[in-house]
Amino acid sequence: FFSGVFCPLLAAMDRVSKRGVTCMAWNKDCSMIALCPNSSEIHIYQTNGGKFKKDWEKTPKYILGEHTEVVSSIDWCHATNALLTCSHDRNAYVWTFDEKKDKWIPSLVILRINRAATMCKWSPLGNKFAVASSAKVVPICHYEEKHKWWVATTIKKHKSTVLSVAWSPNNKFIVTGGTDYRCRIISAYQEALDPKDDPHDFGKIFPKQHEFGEVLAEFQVAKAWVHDVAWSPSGYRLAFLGHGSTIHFVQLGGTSPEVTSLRHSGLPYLAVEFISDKAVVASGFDQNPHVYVSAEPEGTEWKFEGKVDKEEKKVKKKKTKFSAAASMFENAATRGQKAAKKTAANTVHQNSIMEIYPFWDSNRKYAGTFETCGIDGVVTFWDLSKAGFKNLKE
Amino acid sequence: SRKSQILQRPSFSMSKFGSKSEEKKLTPYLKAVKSTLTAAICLRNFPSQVVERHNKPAVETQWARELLLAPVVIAKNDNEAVKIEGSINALRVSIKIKQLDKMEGILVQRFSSFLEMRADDFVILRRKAMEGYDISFLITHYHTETMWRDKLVDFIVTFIQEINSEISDLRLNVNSRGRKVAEHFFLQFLSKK
Repeated sequence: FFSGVFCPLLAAMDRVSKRGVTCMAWNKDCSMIALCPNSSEIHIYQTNGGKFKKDWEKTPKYILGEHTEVVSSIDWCHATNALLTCSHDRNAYVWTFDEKKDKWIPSLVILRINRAATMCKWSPLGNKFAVASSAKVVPICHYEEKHKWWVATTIKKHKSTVLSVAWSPNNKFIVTGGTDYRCRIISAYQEALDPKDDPHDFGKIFPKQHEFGEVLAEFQVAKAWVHDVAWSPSGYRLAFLGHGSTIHFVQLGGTSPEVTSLRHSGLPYLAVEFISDKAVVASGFDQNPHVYVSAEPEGTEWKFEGKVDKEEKKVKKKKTKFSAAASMFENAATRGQKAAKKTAANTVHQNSIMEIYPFWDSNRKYAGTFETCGIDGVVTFWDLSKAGFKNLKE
Repeated sequence: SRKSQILQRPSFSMSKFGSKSEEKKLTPYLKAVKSTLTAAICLRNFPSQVVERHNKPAVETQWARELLLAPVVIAKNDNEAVKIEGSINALRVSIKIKQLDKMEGILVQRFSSFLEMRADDFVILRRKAMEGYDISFLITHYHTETMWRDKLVDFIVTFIQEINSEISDLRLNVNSRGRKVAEHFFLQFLSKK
């Protein structure tokens, strides 16, 4: 009756989980990847330096099972090698690796939220992290040395579920996006943890930049759910996505933030990441990462550059007359169809892309390659220069 | 024998779905339905804002207005319409099937209750149709995670296309059966002399 509606069990090399991969994070030297196979567990694979699944070890080296609901977000702090995970069970754990026991030790974070957590991100210095939640708050957590646990201070400015959060490179601000249709820049400055100097000169644009929880800017242009937010490496640019198939870019640094909105003709995006100061990769329900480029590292001119996945039609195997007839009868018997239908999408990903993970160079200015994970369970690597994109670096 | 011919149930082949109809071009009505469905079926896993540790289809609970998309009704005429209600994690499609008289009304009712009783196996079917409509589908993000979105949309569009011909086939069968039964009934009077 379903006529081939179910995804076939792909023998695809890149498929990590049949149920899908909701989130992933890599460690600093890319020797390990932590991902959630759409369940309450976190699987950590040894990658043997390879970015494609075929190079990894067959089974996960560590399976972390503290959560009781699906894990919505994983972030690996490259500064401290601590793993942060948050889940729909209202909890977040900070995992530290015990070398002697060869185990990851969880440490529960007292988030004080009474709904699910949707995304968690370490700050650039690794001394605090932000958790976006369905409780309409964003707790910012830091480590209390006295009590030896992670403690949260809450930011309460949101009117609905916060879907995503991203840190500014200066460790002080976060940008959040959620289902109240707004994208906000909020100060998460904490005296003991943040440097007082202001290399970006944000004090001029945001006079209240050192007040914790203060909304520095609010953008209402999306007029739809804001699925993801991203901050550029320089700290002067933001990108956020709207469910109306829109992508919005913000340029900070002038008297007030300037927003550029672009709408594309495909399906909405779910994830966005900067890969340099003038290039952005966005992907989502179209199953294909799209690249947007700005001519200059500053300014409001952005345009759609191209799709990374060239969507080559899958080559059909040659069939003999007998096998063609046999497959026709088989289709009629099992699926009620006259002829074999298209059974796979032309893109590498067979279902929406959930996250983009850029591989930054040593000074975190340019990422020429990135990894995507999708709800089809495929985790795959993309190289922008091989895909034909040039001049993306600053 | 004649008796077995009459009492045979009308043949109802589900295999009609998905065979010839893909080759037919889509009418503007169905094109509109297809493009609206393609947009509305972009669903994501979204935990409940109201009940902790729960995950409910936002279009069914209707607890938070910001999570719902504006409902769209695409009506071909007074008799045929499709209502598409979207939300962040679930999509509800209600179909009003063409019924020109009471006979078709009864057939549509029988047909939809046949399917609705088996809604568990059908997966995307809603057990009760929405008010004013004859059959409803509820598609959640769990379904779009395991099934292709464009194939689900194709299925619903094909369903709408085929349903009218199915109901008119059933109606013709009713009429021909009625004629045969009446004929056989009157035979008993003819044989007596």
